[in-house]
Amino acid sequence: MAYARYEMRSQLVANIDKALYIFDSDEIRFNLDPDGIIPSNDPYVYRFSVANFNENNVSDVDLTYHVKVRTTTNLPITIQMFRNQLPSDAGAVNLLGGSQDVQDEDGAWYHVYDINADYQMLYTQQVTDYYTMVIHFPAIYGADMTYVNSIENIEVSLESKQMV
Amino acid sequence: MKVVFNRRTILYIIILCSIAFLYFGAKGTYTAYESFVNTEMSNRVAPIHLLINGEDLGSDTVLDNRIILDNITWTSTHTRPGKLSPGSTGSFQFELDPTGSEVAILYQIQFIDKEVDPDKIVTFQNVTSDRTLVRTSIDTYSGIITLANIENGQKTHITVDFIYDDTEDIEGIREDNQVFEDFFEIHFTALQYQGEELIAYTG
Repeated sequence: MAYARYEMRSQLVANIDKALYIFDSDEIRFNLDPDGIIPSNDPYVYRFSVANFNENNVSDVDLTYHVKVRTTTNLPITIQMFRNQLPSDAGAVNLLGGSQDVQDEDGAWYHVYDINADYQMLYTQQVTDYYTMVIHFPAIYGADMTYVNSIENIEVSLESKQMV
Repeated sequence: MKVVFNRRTILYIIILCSIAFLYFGAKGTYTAYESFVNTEMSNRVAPIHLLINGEDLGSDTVLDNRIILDNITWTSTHTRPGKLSPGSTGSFQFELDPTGSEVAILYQIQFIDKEVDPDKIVTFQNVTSDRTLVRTSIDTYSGIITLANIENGQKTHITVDFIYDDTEDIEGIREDNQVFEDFFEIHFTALQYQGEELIAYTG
């Protein structure tokens, strides 16, 4: 025989705030085509920035990030990268050393420039790092018809991760 | 004038007297019985009563029948205090206070975490108590609050340790739009104890 009995039920839940992960930068990818770049003794300068905050929030975690540049091998360009410095600053340090040539699964070759450093952004402060990328395509190549129809693809990847 | 009672008249008188006696006697008996019944009906019903972190489990004022735990302690690193990030560990405790209950209580706590439901964020690591707590199924722990516990004013404290498992890459979030149930759910049931034996889950 089963008897009725008292029964009470409830659900327990927790008031938890999930940490926001703000790394405000998208992958940068663009093409240098004959309309956009011509051999010149004046360098081409591109700027971008990364931050651990946006207009609404600041990252709740410490994070590190890593910068890598990959270019196709169609144009004889050289690249320099400066972090929080201008190329004209005294003692400005070019972060890009030599490149490594790698081949992808389709057989295409690329120059890969890897900045051998992980940069930190701590949640305790709003941080913005400004980058200046300088591309040299010297004027001496202007007379070389080899590059007239060539397109160079530049890809800057920024990989971030939470510090542990 | 001399009144003469014949036998039939005497018999009628006796019958009438008997009926009157039975009527008034029975009425008196009924009144007494009614009074007895009323005494029984006015006896108190032994109440069951349980507070979880001060919230009355039987109260209608517990919103959506949901009790919110907001006493989490964190051991996160590289994370803003009070925030949950991959790798964070934390713990919370809840108190069962049976004061006022006049029946023993069997309680069952079902823990639904990432191990049970992969959509949940949090994984429970340890469930402990300062009183006997038996794991009675893969996701449920049970315990008994005896009348002696209640009479001695003994409360039960249950501590739960958890982790936000980071063994796999987790996409960071840019805004927090999680709801309570996204993290975990704990279903708590309190029953009047009727002598059941708690049988440990053996897998």
